[in-house]
Amino acid sequence: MADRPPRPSWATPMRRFTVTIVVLVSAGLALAAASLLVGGASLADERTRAVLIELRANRTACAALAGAALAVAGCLMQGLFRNPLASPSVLGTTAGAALGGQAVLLAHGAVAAALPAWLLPEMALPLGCMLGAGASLALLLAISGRATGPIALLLAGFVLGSLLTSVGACLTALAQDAWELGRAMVRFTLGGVDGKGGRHVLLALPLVCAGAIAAWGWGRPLDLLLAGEDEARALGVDVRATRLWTLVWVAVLVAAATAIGGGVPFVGLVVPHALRPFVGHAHRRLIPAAVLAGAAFLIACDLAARLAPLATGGGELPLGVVTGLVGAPVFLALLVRSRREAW
Amino acid sequence: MKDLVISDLTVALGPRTVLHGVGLTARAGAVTALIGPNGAGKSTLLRAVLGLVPSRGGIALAGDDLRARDARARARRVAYVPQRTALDSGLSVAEVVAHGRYAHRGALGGLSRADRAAIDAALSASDAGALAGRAFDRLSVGEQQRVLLARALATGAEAILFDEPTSALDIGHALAFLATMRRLADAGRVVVVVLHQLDEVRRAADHAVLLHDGRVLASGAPTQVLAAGPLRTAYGVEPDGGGYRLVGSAVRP
Repeated sequence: MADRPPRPSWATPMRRFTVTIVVLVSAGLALAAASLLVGGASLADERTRAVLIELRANRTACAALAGAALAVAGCLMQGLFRNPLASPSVLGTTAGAALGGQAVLLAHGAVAAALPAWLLPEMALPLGCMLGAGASLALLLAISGRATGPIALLLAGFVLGSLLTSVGACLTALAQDAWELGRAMVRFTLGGVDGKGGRHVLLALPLVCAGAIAAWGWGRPLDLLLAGEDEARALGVDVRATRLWTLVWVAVLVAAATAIGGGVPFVGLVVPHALRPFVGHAHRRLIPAAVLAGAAFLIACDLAARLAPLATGGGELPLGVVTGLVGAPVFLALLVRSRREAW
Repeated sequence: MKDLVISDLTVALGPRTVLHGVGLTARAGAVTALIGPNGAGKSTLLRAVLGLVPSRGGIALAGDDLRARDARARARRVAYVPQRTALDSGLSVAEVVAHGRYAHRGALGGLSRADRAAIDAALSASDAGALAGRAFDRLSVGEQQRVLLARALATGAEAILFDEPTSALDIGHALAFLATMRRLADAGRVVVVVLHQLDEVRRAADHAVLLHDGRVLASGAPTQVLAAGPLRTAYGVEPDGGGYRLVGSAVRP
């Protein structure tokens, strides 16, 4: 039998990508079904079944949207900063978005009154998160502008994140006089999608869709930027526009995720790293996979947070605590590995 | 003529003027070597042609003013092979070479048939075809240099600029690289290369331009430019048998 001609070099990554997408879609659907069917309350009672399903559907959709948004934002930040350890939570962007959200919660009445009539009051929270995330990214660029190397960027992000978290803690402390507001602030800070309704889904859906599509669009220049600004520019990339718009869409994605899920750390760090062995490093393949994997990951984390009381007998775990328990060891492992070998 | 003509080029980086009214012509079909001591402005000249630093003066390729072109249009005309790339990612070699087609592609579509043909031809011409499926960050320095050459060739540019391409290569890979540059020139392209090894200039270049303190000190055939006078002024050395000996104070440790 005659030898078959060699397979084109781009065929193998596409096949792996397709298989990965099929696996992720299947896993996401299975987790979503589990999220609808499993919980502390039983679905056996016909009178409460519809309400429970609706509550869980909204909660599941919010977890999926927040997970997808944070995973895509992580892909963008790791590409833009050419740093495998970059992610919205590590570099303080999530803390900035959370601070913006906390400020809106604290001054809710005044903010709602200041909004133009065509904006719904519900839009105040994501707008606050967006302003916070954008300001945090601008500060990060200003602080890290003169620093070189991945560790310097991480240190800048750590300092910024600590500062913003401290300011957020101050706001939370100020809110403790009013019991309801104080509780809302704490729940928002710890992260969680419990109690989210259909309007939260409708609020985040367009932002996450627009952000993911835009991120995919900027994927190709981001690939070229992995070679540094000079090489990218010599190959025809508009570096300034790529940097600016990537940061804008990171802010939108992180804001959308924070507005519906609060402070949920490490999703943007863990998901891209878990995917690269399967889909490669090219952003145009990484980002669609990150949408699916981020959604599946956060649904799974939310499920774990919800099922924890069945094992421990206590209350639900905050979602941010679950992602932190998963993400922090991964971050440390990556940090150790990055000291030993290049990305 | 398809030559690269640089006229009265001045580049200032911050308060320091790096190039002072430099003029040279790199002919199509010839290898033009840029030489000079460290800090003479060789790499800055390449960066100015690529539009990476602000400059004043004329930069024209085949009579077309490159300074008036945006990054994409310029990238279709002029390609660049850096001394060492900052790329340190697990992108496959085929993906890295496909970056050379960026300026030809639309924002959304995949690789066209013409793109794939250009990539395959570039991989073949740079002897990197067998590397296509491998991760770029797992290659040796010599292999990476071949991939960067393939990326530059995939652009289809008429002019290719090399910044010290052989500095990290062993003698075998360096000679192979110089032979590839010769083939590119023979195919009618403009080839401009920054070189530090003067014997490589004699071996590979048709034309040499010696820069010193941001000015053209000598220009012409390599044998003329590498004569005792210009070398003494630029490097503080002069030919001595098969090598060179230090005679002046141009080299400041």
